[in-house]
Amino acid sequence: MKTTYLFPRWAKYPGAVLAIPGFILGYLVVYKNYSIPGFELRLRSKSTLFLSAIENFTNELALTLVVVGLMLIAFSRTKKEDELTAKIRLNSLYWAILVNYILFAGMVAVAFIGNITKSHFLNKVIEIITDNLQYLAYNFFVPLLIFIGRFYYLLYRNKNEFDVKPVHYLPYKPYRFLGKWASITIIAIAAAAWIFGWDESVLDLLWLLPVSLLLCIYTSEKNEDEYLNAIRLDAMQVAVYVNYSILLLSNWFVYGPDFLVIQLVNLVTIPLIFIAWFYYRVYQVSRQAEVKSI
Amino acid sequence: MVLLQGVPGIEAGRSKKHLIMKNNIRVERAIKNITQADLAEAVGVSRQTINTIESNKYVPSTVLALKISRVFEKPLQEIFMLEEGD
Repeated sequence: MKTTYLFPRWAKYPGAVLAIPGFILGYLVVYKNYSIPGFELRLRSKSTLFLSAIENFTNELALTLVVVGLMLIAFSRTKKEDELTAKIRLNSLYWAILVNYILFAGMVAVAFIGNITKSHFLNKVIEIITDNLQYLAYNFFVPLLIFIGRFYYLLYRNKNEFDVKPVHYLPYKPYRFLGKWASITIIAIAAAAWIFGWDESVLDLLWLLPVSLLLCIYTSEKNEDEYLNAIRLDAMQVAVYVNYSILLLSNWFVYGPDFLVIQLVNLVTIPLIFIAWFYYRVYQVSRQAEVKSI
Repeated sequence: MVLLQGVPGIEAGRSKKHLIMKNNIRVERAIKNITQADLAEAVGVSRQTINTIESNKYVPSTVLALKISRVFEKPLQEIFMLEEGD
């Protein structure tokens, strides 16, 4: 197992050169409402409520710098790329996505409890995190940051050997059943609410979808073996690559409220792409196995 | 399935005991008088990878195991072996 599609070793330096100004610019945009004067285009003839006629590209630039920079750092070769570094790389990726979603789940839980108990303190906390929907912006790069931290930690914690930490999965029973049916139920209810125009608050259920999908991808298969494990880790890499490509493209071509939708969808794209790719590969392999065994 | 019953190899493979892979790369290196770095260079991995394999924390791929056994000019099973683990 060797990781394919990696950037050359030196790519982490231009990566840092892009990411650091990107973070500074991003900070200025989000917290100080800064925009580079003149860095704009007249896209529409008339301003509407949500879309101004002139689009300033400062936030797009900041996000692109951060994501491209972090991708270069995260996916550049190590000094000697071999099967073990590939394994560590993919394990860190799986780990990073897990930690990111646990953070997200924690936030949903705090919001939920705050809502029920009407606790002033908890609502304040949520307000600070979700102000200007900053959390959604974090979701763009936090997984990458966690990955970089974890990967280099495992590589360099010990000078003489790599730290190989196994990925732990929840047992197939009963978590897979729970995750699967929770996801299906949430999607069904949300779809019904949307079609029949039920109360808007029902759609809040969708905030639980990332959590239930996560439950699906972190349960082992009935017969989890090393080969399924390899497919699983590959699928995670594909999901992250595809996810960030979509994100970068939509960042430049989709504006205003539509981009907000993309950000929301982004919360579930990684698990969804993962599930699609993983089961497609498993299906392919089992079909090949059938043909061969005849 | 009935066909496979009583076949010695198959029966052994079905053993319920927890088996882990051990190796004696460290001993073989001492015999051949080469360092971890030399071995790493010869099989095209990093020195840390060799060290991690030697301390039984990482099970190498079959390809890598075969490459290592080729360096020591010995059959695979004299370098890597299955042992009952904890």
